[in-house]
Amino acid sequence: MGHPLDLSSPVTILYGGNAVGKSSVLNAIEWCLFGESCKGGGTGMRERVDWEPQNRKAPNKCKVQLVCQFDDGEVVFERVPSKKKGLSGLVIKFPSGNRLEGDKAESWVKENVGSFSNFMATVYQHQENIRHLAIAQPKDQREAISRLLGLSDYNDLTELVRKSELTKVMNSVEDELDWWDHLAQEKTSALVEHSRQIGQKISVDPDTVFPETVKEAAGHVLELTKEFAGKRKGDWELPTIPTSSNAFDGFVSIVIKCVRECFGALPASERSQQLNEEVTKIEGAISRLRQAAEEKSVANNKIRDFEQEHGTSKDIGEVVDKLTAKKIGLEERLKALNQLATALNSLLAYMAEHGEGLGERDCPACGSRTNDQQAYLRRRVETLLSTEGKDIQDELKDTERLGKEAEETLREFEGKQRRLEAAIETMANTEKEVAQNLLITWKENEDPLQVLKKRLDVAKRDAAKVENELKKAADDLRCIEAECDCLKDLAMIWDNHELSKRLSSIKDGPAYKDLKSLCEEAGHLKLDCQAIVDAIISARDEESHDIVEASKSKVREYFGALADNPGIDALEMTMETKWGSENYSFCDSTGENVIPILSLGDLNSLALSIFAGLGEVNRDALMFQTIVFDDPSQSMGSHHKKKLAELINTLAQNRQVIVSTMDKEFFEALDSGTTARKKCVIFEGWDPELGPRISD
Amino acid sequence: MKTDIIEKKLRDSTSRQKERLALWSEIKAAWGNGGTSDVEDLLGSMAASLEERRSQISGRLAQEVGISDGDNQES
Repeated sequence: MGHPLDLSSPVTILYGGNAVGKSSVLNAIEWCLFGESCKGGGTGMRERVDWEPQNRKAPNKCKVQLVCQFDDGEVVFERVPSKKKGLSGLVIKFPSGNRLEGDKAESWVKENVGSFSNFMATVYQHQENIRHLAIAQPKDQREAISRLLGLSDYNDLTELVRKSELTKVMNSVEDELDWWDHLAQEKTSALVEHSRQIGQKISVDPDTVFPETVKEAAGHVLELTKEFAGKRKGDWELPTIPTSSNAFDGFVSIVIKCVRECFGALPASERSQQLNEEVTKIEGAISRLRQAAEEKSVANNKIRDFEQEHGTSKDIGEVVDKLTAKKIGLEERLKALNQLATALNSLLAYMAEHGEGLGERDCPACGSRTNDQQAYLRRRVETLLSTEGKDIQDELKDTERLGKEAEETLREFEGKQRRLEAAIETMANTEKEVAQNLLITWKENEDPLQVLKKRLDVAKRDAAKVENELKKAADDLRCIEAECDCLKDLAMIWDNHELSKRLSSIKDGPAYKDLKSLCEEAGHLKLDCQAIVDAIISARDEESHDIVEASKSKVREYFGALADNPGIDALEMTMETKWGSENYSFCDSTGENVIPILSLGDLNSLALSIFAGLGEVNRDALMFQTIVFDDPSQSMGSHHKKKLAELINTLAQNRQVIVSTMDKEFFEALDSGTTARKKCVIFEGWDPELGPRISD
Repeated sequence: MKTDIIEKKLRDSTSRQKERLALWSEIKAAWGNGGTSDVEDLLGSMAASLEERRSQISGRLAQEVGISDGDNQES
């Protein structure tokens, strides 16, 4: 709001229609004092759910300032909306000039003004919860009336002690002692059963198991271990036999570790490993030799088959030589023929040039008688070339072809020969390598494969013998392990016996005695706390009883003045304490509860009577001497309204009263029915930036 | 709150008047100093002390008897 509102008159009436800012003015007073706690659904008022102290037109200008008159002067409270959640926007200025801000200011309000709940119970009566005081659940009613009576401290402190962590711990100490008491019995039974099950497993009567029994079994295990360890090289350190029942797990672990290491170090183990390695090596060598022999055999077979088909290399060489010689002979014959033809052609050319050879005569070349030597010679040349010459050429071609084929065959044979030679070399290298690996010297005429096979048989026989030795050693190892398991079971039975003994004498031990002493201490503390709670409740009851007794007549008087119910001749307010809590009841002169027969108007009247009556008698104990009524005439008829106005006039004699109403009839009743000095503030409308428009 | 009446009632206790008055004196002082939070702190520290002693004794007892903490917790 942009202007101050004076609320200092004995009666201030805020009057106006809906949504003009009456309740917002009252809310602003509470918000200034109590901040966030007076907002939201937790207040029990619907209109507070979405209420915010802000100026939507000018967000940074929202501020509420409340000036209160205390005995030592004016105290000014100022609050602005906090900029951050958890930060307080409250400032308090004191008459001395001192000021408090933030959390310190909030603490001052809490200590000197009280809580918002207290304020609600003792100062403010809202239309929505005005009947609460009369018809609320007993706990809520107790809470509200206690605050009205100024007794909330008693209840708060009682609840603190009752619900404190100390109560839980005191109980847990007692539970602890009970637990140990029960443990001795339950655990002993469980141990007996456990020993019985172990005994059944190892075929031993648990009652016959004594420390000596277990130690003897441990000695036996040690003997077996020594015997086993003696079969291998080196020294072994074996554990000594334990003297306490719970040390046998460790003993057994060491023994088993020892025998397992012994097993690994046995000569047979080492020999077995060597033999297995040798067998593997020989098998590998045999495999490699077999592969080389196979390759050599394949190459040999191929040459043998080739020779069967084509003859030996010598045979093939001879064929090649023959064909070469034949070729040379044919080439020479062809050459001679060609020379003859050339000579005859030269002769023919001469004869033609010189006119020779015409007419019958003998051929100078062959002596044959011809009629035309030129024609004869010509035919003769042609015949030579077309018959004899062609035959020679054909034969020469065949000879060349056969020669090439024979050469190809020879090359193929030579290739196979080279592969055989390579296989032979591989075989030789493999034999050499195997000999080096296995430290063997091949004797002449000795088949390496056969030598290796014999050697493999020997190695395998030796390995089988060693395996048998190892199998026996493994049996011994398992036997020792089984003895160890049995020893652990025996030790467990012994341990169970020992634990049973300790449990049976648990109460003799110092720790149990300390726990019992602590339990007694906790029990005393519990009784002390209860005695303090009882004393607080008793003091509260006495005080509340006094106030209730003193205010009974006031409540009756106010209710009689306000209510219009001829059925209730005299209201009796009583208080009873049950289970540490005080309960209030409102009965008529016959002792019957009046609540069920009251109309809404009468219920409001009763609530206002309790509020005003208790407050009046207990006035000095209340922090605020102000009463705020927010729309108190709701559900009231004309009679109630008139009487309420009279009651307010009476209250105003001792306390400052602020009344907010939209009820014209009630406003007129207040205006005309109150003799106390009053101020009427008329709310005419709402300005979004400046708030309510008011006139005095 | 009429603390003098509460004190008188505790003084009238049939037993442990001294201890009860001493405890009440502490609670009253805490209430006077910081209200709810100080009383909570006072009772909380007493609870913590008692719980620590309980836990220590329980551990010793378990050790004396020879059962593990696991057995203790399990039970």
